[in-house]
Amino acid sequence: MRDGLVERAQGGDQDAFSALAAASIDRCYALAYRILRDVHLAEDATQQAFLNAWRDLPTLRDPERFEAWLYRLVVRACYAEAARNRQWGAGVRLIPSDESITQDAASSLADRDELERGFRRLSPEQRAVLVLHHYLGYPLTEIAATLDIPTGTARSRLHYATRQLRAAIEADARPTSSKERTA
Amino acid sequence: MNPRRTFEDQLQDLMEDGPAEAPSPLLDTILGAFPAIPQRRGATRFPWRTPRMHGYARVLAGMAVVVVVGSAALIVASGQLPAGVGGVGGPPSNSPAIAASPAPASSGPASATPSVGTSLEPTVAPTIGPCAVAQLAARITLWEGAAGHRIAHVELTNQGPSPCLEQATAKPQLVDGRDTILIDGVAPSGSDTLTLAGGAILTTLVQDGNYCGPAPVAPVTVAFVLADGGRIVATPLSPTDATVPPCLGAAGSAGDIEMHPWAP
Repeated sequence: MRDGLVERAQGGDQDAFSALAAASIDRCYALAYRILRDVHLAEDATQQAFLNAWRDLPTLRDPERFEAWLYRLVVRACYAEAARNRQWGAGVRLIPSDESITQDAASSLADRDELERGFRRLSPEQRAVLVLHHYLGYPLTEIAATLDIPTGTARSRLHYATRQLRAAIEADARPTSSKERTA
Repeated sequence: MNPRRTFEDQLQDLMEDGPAEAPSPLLDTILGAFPAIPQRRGATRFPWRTPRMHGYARVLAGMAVVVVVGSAALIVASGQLPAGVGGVGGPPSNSPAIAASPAPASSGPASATPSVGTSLEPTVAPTIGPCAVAQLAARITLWEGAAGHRIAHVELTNQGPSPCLEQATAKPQLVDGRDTILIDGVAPSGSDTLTLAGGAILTTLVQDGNYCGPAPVAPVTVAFVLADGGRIVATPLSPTDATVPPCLGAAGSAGDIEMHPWAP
């Protein structure tokens, strides 16, 4: 059914594209948010991706690849948003404070905070690969096809992104463990 | 006591954290904006790159094209091609490759293809009117400092669903929180007109320098005076930003401000 919609939209059928947009927007927005970690930037990127999709849809050669092609547009729109908002990495998400939390819970929150910070320090390209892999569950070959990059590049980005995140948590744990865990 | 979560668990939590649904106004905005954007048409679909064509069919299609193009080139080279027979039902062509290629199927005019960016095309489409101030929104996305100057990165968005015409340049102003003009720019003598599709975004850089006046009231931002007298004040980067470029001349000397043309 979706293939029929894609082909109709390729022919300029606005109702068909509206149906495609309604069916796809939640997943695209969720993808954009997880890459950009900002609702406003994610909205802008999603909107831009769909406008680009409508404009370029006639050039899509294989309607069966519509979803992957749309995700590629979303990721590219995220790159553009990130470039336009170079201060994006400075954003810090506040972890709610609770006096009564246990030491383990505090450690988990600290780890989570550090993971969030580490994620924000990644390049948009690394974030995209991480999100496609861990959120959408794409294997490396599918990530490579979606992003139009070699599989080796996708593997490399995933490897270094994961290593950076691990390092962020471990670096945080080392100097603070003696002070915080005994406080 | 809860055991500390593994890295993979935490990463999975991070991925799952966040909205799973788009805010409903977003879909409305998209559905209102996309009909104003022309679809990209006219791209030649080479027969040997058709996705469902495999093996021998692809090879044969490629060979056929080579034979046709080669034959056409030989005919042209030997001067045997009668005038006016260069294309497929069209005017004579200087290129054998083009002469031998069938015209691509296209449901839209070739001029509808955007040449740059998402939805921006230099045009003089007579049915599109100038952008109304009410449908435009500007915001500063970044301030940079450079050699005694400050440079604002500004975005201009067509918030309406319909395309409109926008001058590529306007008279820039540096203004403060009371809309006092701190530095007044020069109106452009003339500039290109751009078509700004619904929902499309343009960007520019506004550079100002040498502010020697009294301390401004926050927030400092930039404004644009359009050719028709309309004025757009950009949303400041921060409500508390009162930074102005340093005074490099005599007290009371005029500052300078100029903008780059709007671009996608």
